[in-house]
Amino acid sequence: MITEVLIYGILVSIVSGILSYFVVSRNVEFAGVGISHAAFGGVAIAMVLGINPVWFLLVFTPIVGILIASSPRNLSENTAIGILFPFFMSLGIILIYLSQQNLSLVWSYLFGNIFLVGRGDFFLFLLVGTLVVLYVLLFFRQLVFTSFSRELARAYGVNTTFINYSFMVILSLGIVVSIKMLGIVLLSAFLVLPASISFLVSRGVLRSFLFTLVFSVLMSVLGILASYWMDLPSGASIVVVGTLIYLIFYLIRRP
Amino acid sequence: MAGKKLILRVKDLSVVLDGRKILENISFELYEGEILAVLGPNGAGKSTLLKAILGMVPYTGEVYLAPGYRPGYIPQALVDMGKLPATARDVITMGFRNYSKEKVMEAARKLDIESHLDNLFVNLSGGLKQRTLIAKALVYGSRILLLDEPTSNLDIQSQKRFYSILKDLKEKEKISAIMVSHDLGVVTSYADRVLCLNVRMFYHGKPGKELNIDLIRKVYGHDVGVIIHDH
Repeated sequence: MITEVLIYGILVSIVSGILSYFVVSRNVEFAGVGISHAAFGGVAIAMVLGINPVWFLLVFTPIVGILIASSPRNLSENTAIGILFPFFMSLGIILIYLSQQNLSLVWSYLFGNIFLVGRGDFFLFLLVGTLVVLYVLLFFRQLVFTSFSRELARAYGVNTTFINYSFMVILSLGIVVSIKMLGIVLLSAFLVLPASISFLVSRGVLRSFLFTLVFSVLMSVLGILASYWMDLPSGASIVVVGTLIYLIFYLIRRP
Repeated sequence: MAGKKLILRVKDLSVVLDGRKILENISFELYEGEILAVLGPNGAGKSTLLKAILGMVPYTGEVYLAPGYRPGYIPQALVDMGKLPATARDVITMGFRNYSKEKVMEAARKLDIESHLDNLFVNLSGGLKQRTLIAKALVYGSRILLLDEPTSNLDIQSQKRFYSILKDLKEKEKISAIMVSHDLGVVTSYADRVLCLNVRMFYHGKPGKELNIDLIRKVYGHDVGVIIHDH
C-alpha cells in the first residue's frame, strides 16, 4: 500500500515540481492559488449536477486559467485572480449549502488524501502528467525565455501570447489531477515551495530546474512517510515538511 | 549611398495604439556599419519605432530588413523580469536552439564579460547587464542592434565603455545600430545619421549644422535648453 502511495506521490511531485518551476519564475504564484481555489466552485457545480468532479474540473479549471490569462491590459492578472478566486469559492459554498451535500466529500477535495486515491484517478493522472511533461519538453526554451522576460522573448520572436495561454491551461490541468492528493487549499503550497527552495540554493536555469524536481520529490516522500508513520493527514504533512525544508535552507543559505 | 549595403528601409511607417497616433509616416534607411541616433522627447514614439521594426506592435507602412539581418534588441531595462535564477551565460543563450559554446565565448570576449558569465544576471551592474544583452544579440547573429536609451541608467565610466564597444563593433565588424538617445553630444560624436521625431519626423540626415537649436526646440518644445559638451 505505502509503496503504491509513494510511487504516486513521486509522480505527482515531479509534475507539480515542473509546474512550480514556471509558476515561481513567472511570478504567477497567485494564479496557482486562484485556479486551485476556483476549482472548489467547480467541485460544487459537479456535485450538484451529479457528475464526477474531476472530469468536470478538467474542463472547468482550464477555462478559469484562460480567463485569468486574458485579463484586460489595464488590469493585472492578479486583479482577475482576486475577482475569480473568491467568486468561485463563494459560489461553491452557496451551492453546497443549498444542496445539503455530504461534507466529508467536500472536505476530501479541500484537503486531499493520497491514501484514498483510486486506480481511475491514477490513470487520469498518468495521462495528464504525460501531457504536462510533453508540453514542457516541447516548449522548454520558450517557457524559460518568457519566464525571464516576456518583452525580450517577444523581441526575439517567441509567440508569448501562445506560451502564456497554453501554460495557464497546462497549469490548470496539472492542478486538477493533483487535487486528490494535496487538496485545493494545500495545493498552492506545492506549486510554490519546491521552486522557492531551489531558487534559494541554486543558480543557473538547468540546475535550478533539476533542484526544483529534487526538492519536490523530497518533500513529497518525507511528507507521505511522516503521514503514514504518525497517522496524520497526508496533504498537510507534505506541506509542513516542505515549509520546514524551506526554513532550513533559508537559514543556512549563504548571505 | 553608393557602395554601402542597405540593411533596413522604413517607409511611411505609422503606428496607432488604443486609438492614439504614436508614429506618423516615418521613413528612413540604414546602411551596413552605420549608427542612426533617434532623438525626441519622452512619448515621441522612439521606443515604439524600435518595437515596430521588431514586429512587436502593429503598424502600417513598410519595414524591409535585408535577408539575414536579424535585429538584436537591447531594452532600456528589463522591467518584467521574473525570479528565474539565470546566469549571464543562460541569458545569452536563452531561447536559442542552435548556438556553439565557441560563439558564446567569442561574444563574451568582445564584450569583456567572460569573468561574469556564471554570475546571476540579476546581480550584474547596469553596464554588465547591457553588455550581456549585446552579447546575446551577437550570438543570435544580429548585424543590427536596436538600443533603447542605452546609457540612461549608466554611470559616466560605463557610458564611456559602452560607446567604445559600440565603436569597435561598428568599425571592426560593420555592425549597424539604431540608438534611441537624449544626448546631443553623443549624437554628433558617434552617430552617422540622426532621426528627430515627435510622432512625425522632423529631421533625417547627417548630424551637421541642420541639427541646431531651432530644430531641437521644434521637436522638444520651446522651453528646452541645450548644453553642448564633448564626447
